[in-house]
Amino acid sequence: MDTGLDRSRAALIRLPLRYGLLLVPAVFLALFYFYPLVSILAVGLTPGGQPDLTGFAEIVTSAYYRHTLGFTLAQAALSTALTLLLALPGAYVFARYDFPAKSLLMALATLPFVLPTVVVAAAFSALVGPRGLVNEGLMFLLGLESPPVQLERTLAIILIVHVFYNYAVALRIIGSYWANQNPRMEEAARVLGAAGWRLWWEIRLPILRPALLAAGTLVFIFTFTSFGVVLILGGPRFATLEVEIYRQTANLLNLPMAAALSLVQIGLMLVMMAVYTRMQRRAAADVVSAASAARPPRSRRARMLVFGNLLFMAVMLFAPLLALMARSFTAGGEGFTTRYYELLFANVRGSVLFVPPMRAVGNSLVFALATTALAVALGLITVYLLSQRGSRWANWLDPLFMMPLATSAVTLGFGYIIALDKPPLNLRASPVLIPLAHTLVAMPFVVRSVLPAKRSITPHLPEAARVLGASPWQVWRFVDLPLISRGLIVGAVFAFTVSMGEFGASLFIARPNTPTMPVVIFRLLGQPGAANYGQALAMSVLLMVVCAVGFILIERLRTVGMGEF
Amino acid sequence: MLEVRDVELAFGDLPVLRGVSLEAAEGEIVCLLGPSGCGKTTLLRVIAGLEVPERGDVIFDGRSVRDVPVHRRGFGLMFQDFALFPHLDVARNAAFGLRMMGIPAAERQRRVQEVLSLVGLAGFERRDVAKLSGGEKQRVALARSLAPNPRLLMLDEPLGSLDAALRERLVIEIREIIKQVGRAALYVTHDQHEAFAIADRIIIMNEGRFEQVGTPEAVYRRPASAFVARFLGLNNILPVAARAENRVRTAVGQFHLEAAVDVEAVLLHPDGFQPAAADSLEAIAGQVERRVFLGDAYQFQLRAGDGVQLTFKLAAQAERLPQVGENMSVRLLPDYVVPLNGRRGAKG
Repeated sequence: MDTGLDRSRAALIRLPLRYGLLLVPAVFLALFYFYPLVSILAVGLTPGGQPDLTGFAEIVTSAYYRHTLGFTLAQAALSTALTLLLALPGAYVFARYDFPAKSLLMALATLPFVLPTVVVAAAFSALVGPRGLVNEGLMFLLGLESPPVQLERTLAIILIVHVFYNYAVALRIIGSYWANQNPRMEEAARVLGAAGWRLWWEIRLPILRPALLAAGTLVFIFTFTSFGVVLILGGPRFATLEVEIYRQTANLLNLPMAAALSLVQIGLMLVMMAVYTRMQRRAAADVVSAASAARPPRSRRARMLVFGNLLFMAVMLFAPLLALMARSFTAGGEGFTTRYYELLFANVRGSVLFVPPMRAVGNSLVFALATTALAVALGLITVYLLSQRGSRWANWLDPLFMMPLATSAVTLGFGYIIALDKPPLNLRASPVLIPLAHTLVAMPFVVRSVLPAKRSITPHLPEAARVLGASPWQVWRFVDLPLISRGLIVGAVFAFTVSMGEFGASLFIARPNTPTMPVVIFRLLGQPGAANYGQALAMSVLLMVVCAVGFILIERLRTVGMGEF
Repeated sequence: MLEVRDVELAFGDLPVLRGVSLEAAEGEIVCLLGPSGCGKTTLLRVIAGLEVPERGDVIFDGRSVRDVPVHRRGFGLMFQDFALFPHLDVARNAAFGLRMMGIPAAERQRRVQEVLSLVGLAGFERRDVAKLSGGEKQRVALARSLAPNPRLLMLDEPLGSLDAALRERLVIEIREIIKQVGRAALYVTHDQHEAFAIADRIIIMNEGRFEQVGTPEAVYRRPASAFVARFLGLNNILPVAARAENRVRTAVGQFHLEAAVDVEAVLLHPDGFQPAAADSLEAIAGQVERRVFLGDAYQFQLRAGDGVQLTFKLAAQAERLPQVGENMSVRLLPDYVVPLNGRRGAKG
């Protein structure tokens, strides 16, 4: 009888197996995240094989790049200010008043969060573009020759779309923080003589400061890295750093410059993420649970405020999406037709695409399924790695695995181009690049969805199961899995949706014969003619439907707030 | 000075105030006492202007304040959870009302010093309110509501979140501070001892109505209804079986009572019991069910005739007191039979 030795021998065998498994996500991250980043660093700092910082010098000295950087910061600041300004009354309404379908509206307001930028760009073009519903209607009504609303290629449309995207982010963060604040504070201020603007200035804004800062930083980060919106709607006059990196790479083939810009971008992002992490912690730490102060609006003024705000939300949210659907059937102006959907199946000669557009749907689905499988598998292992109790590594690894979330998709795509198209790891012609890139973007969502559930499993649960006779596998199957399954499904749907809509990285690495849906929409939007335009809108509708279905699944299953991201 | 007339208010279908009226004179501390949910806090909020009554009016110095918005009423309200402003330090919290009134900085500072030393917080000016103890927060809240020299001071369970020992000390301090300021004050609590200690006059509330109004002594000694008696912990309530001109008969015997004609139930006030000889005429005999030593007294629970339970205290230094299970006879001082009105007179 030598069971003791047997057991330690089994443990000896299991140990490397266990750590080997845990190593997989780390290796993945190293190969497909850090290696491309290091390559950017190498190209940026040593463009000709020699240390050479002229690229950076040019960014600093050239008026053109200074202007690009300035515009990137300025539009982000403007978008942030505008978003906060518009979301503040909304947050007030959601924190203070109860009204029918409140949680449904809050959920719907978050829909843009999962909509791909190309879809949103197409939707706004269908609403207020030169060929959009508004212009067509005005031209018809007023008998005009040319479209009266000229928003395309203006700063205004960029700002509007940024508000569309980030309104719900700000609304959720500020609204939930506000709802958690003691309503007596405001009443105390009123009894002491504060009213009107003084109430806002002296009490509400100072109390909301942590939430405003957290929401502001997050919106700033999102708009600072805005790519698709500016590229498609802004036209050649406007370029954020992201757009400039793309142009330097795709149009000018100036890789060292693109690398230098990427490094500036990465540096700024790291700073902003560090700021955000601090802000978010403060906004979360200040939450005191108070009884909900939300009441039905009683006075006329309150009802007007609630109604006005809901109307604003509905118009802002639904007008572009409805316009997109309507225009996808009427783009040519000759009445209702399903022609553009039929054209998606045709391989038109002379088209910008090498394949029938419908093939892109198949590509996107395959890529998204591969991404989902990869992201769930790697994410799950990462969750177990991060939730090990008493592990010194966990605190240190957590931010490491979140880093891809803080890296812009364009930087990632650019890194893939310069790192993975030559030995030792030449994947240039391989279609796996796209799911790999998407997995990097999607994995943090899986981790963030599962980790809270996994952490909520106290050690006593598996212990109790083991005492009751469950094998390690049975413990996992019958205790862990049921408890994390909701989070796992949410993470999987997130991964699928993110992959379907991913644009920035895909634009860099998608092969001409395997385009994804967002890439096809982008190409079609850039072409003249009603047929191309109609097809872009039709495909946008398809993509929107996929993302909306994913969104509904997530909203029904999620248990944690959007603030997690 | 303050007059509340027939105020009615409902939250949805739930009536919270069902027509209440009160008056408070200058320098008087009126205490609203009642169980939670009886409407006492809501009444304060109506007077402050934070709730709009469906009917009735609030009149101050002879003028209705119906159309005066909250911030112009010039009343002080101290909240149960203090509601201190987390972004302001102690002095700035206290100065808030003065700043809203546009008082110049120098005068503001002088006044803040004054109220902070009044509440015993001199030297705390620059402290962060989040880092204060419960008692200190309570003082800041009091200072904040006193600083603008409000025409009327309202305190909503100001000691509710503090522990008993601190509460006992602070309630006396608050009374002294209010008396020093000399304004009318409304004080809301559910704790009778707090109310007895602070009030000139007590209003007992129940389900949105006033059950009884009177001095603390009167309310305690002569509760008007079974609800008031029970709320104050006076539980020896007996239905009246028969009544004559100035006598009532109950399950434990007959008692003298002036104007006994309409009386449905009586309270045998626990403070009026004395040991009696078993053979005396007025003796109430029974068996000791429980005896609890309270230090200066014993609390007895006696099972008397007809299964009626009576509780009362007897001073500990009295002659040998019976043990649990022994028989015991007591008598009641004549003034301690209290007639009760109200629908729920009978026990059980």
